[in-house]
Amino acid sequence: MSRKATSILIVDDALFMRTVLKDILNKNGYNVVGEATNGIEAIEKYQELNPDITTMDITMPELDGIEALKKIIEINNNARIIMCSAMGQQGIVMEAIKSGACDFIVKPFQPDRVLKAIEKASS
Amino acid sequence: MRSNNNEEYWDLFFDEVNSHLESLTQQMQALELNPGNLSIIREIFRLVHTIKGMAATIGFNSVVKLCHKMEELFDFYRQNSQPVSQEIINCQVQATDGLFKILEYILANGEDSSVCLTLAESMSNSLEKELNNLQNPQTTKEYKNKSPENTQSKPEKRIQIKVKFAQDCQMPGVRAFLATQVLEKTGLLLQSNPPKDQFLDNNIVSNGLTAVLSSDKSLNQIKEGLFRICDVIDVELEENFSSPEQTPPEIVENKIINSEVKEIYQKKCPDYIAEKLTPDQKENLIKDELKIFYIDLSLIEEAESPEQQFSNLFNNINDYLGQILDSEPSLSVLKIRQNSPPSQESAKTNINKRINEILDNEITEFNAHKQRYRFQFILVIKGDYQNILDFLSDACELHKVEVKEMELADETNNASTTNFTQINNSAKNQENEPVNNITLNSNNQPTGEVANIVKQNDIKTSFVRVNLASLDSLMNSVGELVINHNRLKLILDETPNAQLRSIIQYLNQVTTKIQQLVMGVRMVPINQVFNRFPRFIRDISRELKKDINLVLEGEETEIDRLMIDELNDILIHLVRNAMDHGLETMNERMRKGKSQQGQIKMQAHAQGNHVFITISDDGRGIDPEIVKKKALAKGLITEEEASLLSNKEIINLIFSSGFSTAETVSNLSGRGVGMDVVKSKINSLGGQITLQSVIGEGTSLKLSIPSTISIIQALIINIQDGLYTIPLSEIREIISVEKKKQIYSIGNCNLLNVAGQSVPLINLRKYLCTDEGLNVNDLDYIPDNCLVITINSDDKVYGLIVESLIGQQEVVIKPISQKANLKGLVNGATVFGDGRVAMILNTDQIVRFYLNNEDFKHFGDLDNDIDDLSVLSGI
Repeated sequence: MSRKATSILIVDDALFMRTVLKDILNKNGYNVVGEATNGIEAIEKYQELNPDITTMDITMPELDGIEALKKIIEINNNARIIMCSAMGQQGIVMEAIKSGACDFIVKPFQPDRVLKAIEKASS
Repeated sequence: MRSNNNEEYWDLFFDEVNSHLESLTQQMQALELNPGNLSIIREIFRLVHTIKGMAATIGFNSVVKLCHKMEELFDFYRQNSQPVSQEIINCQVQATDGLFKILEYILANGEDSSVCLTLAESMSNSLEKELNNLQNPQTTKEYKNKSPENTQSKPEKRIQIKVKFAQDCQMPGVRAFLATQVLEKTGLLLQSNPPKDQFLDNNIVSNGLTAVLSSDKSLNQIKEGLFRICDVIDVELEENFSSPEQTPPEIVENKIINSEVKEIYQKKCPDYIAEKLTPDQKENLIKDELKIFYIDLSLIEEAESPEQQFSNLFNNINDYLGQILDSEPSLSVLKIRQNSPPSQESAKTNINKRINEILDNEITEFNAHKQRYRFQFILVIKGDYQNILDFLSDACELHKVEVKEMELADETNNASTTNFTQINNSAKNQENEPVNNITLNSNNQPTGEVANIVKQNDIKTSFVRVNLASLDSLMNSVGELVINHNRLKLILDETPNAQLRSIIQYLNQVTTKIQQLVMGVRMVPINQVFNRFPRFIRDISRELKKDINLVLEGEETEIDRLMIDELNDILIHLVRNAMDHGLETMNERMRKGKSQQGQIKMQAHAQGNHVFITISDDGRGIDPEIVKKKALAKGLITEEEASLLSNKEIINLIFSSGFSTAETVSNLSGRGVGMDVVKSKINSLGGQITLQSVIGEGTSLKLSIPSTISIIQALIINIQDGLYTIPLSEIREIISVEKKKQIYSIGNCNLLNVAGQSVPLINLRKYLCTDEGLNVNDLDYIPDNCLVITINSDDKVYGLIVESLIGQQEVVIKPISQKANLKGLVNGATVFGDGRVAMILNTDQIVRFYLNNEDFKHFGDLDNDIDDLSVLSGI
């Protein structure tokens, strides 16, 4: 899949984080198709946009990333979701992986790591 | 391992456990009102866990067993955040009671016996049942590596896999987990090392992962799968056709991650260590008679209170084995943690709350938790590593130990030996932990930091537990100080001296301050007693099938600690009475048009030197007619007497010995311990109890208890050249009286008119100077000019006749023996600055004594007959 064709949904409650991530992805030719600011919005947007890859923040208002992840996996068992976690959230990342997340990236985002994860997830 | 010689810690243990159990009881109640509250559940979990830890340390296995089950159940709720059902709460409340019982038994019998264990087991079983009912079979099955048996039928080849992660890999544990996921997709994962349940420990996983896979896929396919995981930098695969049983446990090379730290411990003895050696030791080291070892050990996960074990170990090693030059954590850190083990709070401070809520604190806790079980130290001994190993495996619950010999810091790097050995108590854990966890790393909580946080917490709630006996002896010393201060004052009065005066004034200030402080320390809020009641009422109200609401007021009122225990029994008794006899049944209340729910109110407030506690109910009240009938039936009073008594006096008959109003004896009240016992107990504390009751509206009992019993303001009086003191708080007024003009008699009773009220006079001389005057008409023994001190007793005024007043002073109460206390007429004694001793009068007892002797009752209610009496006053 070419980068251009890989559609990505970014879920994060912080505009700043979304912007940083979007810039990294856009600069490297990925197609960010949508953004969501909480878990509920994430589920809606996922259904609407059906992105190839979703980056999912964990700590969010309304519905947190883990719950959103679980819901999305229920909708589409093959959904490719990359968790965005803060350092120290190892336990919860583990839970996310068990719940069906395909990978994780750790904040603060390092572009090459983000790209590597996206690349592996999209292959 | 653990012996019974922990007895020195028993006091501390029971003290602390009791306070935990009390909090536990409170939390259970809170939970009952709010069964879904996660923070209460967590708090309960924490409390039970703490108790378990303490019990395990001291070796009370039955407590451990029961706590463990309680904890497990709450852990379930903690993790599933669903409301706790009423059945479970009941079960847990019973279990809490069980804990109380077991501990009581242990305390009484001095050991944890099979009786306790049986109790613990039966309770655990019922908890277990609840737990099983709760748990959904799929969710509870822990993931386990598939056992080799399952695979024997499968013909696939076995593949040894080594996966290496990048140095800067973040969350290697999760990476390792991803790797096992990949492997599970390609075949049957027979073994993973580290095991899956240890993935959250970055230290263990950072080396990489080894696994044994049974799969028919090609090596390349597996490799490809693994390489799709980020941060996987190397994968080694090796086919192996041997049977699973013969698969030797794979030991991963101990990768040196932080070479610096490793260096310190592995080869050379660091300089700061070498500096600690005495010249003698150095010489012996060179002669090879002494050796230095680096030891890194960890305890099994189940080990309770590792801090305690380690500090014991530390001491034992220093006593028997050799000298510990340095340790991580250090002994002082261990001590600190021992007192406040790295709790969840300390570990989670730096993570934001929101995350915590979702994540239940697992990760941070986990690392700190792991670290708790690890202990590293440098030891200089006369012997070799075998001695150390023998010693260690005897001394603690070892999970793993690493012993390395070190060299003195000077010369060669490649020098001689690195003796190295391992003990594995668990076959699961076959790799070495790298020695890098002394360095700081944001992902793994360094022990030092944990200790710091613990320290900070300590400062926030800086409480020290003090042995009550030492507090008492401190109090005693302060008493001596006060006495000697008074003595100095006396000297000053005799020989005035300006310099001395200023010193004494300052001394006065300091003494007063110390005294107040010590008194303050002894004071505890009365809620220590009150807090037991919500639970008590809850239980009893169920038993009685009455709906009862308890209102507590003034719980912050402070009272001398010595009073607390005494008070507890008294209050329990009174509240029981109120619930059983005072409050009507629900039907009865309905009929009377009262609300179904009865109310019991416990109020406390302090006033002057006294604490007043009121227990009131809105029940049926005490019917004087019934009391009268009872009293007559029991022969407590005669008909004639009864007709003279006011309703109030009749009601007060319930304080007479041998009186019980209960028609039927229930198992709660009416156990034969009557109100008379309550009353005499309160009196013995220097307190009073009064009763008010209105038929149909309720009863109210008012206790007045001295808030402290050690130092009081007192009036010093003189009777027949003897010195006595009366607590100032009991005195209403002091009246100078001319006998002939003001005192009049009726029969044997001398009276004084005070503000229109006839006050019976008690001639103290008669009681205190026993050999004379017992049969003598009182009036003759009253000096012509005397002083009358009026006091209150049972809401009545009495006058005490004394010859002269010496002064007012702060006196220290010293207990006196039963024999010396003149039929209870004195409460204690005090020593003055000049060495003279004075008795402290118990005015209540004096009044009682007086009433019994004077046959006072014949005069009926004096208040109503003032006119008649004044006619007689000329006698």
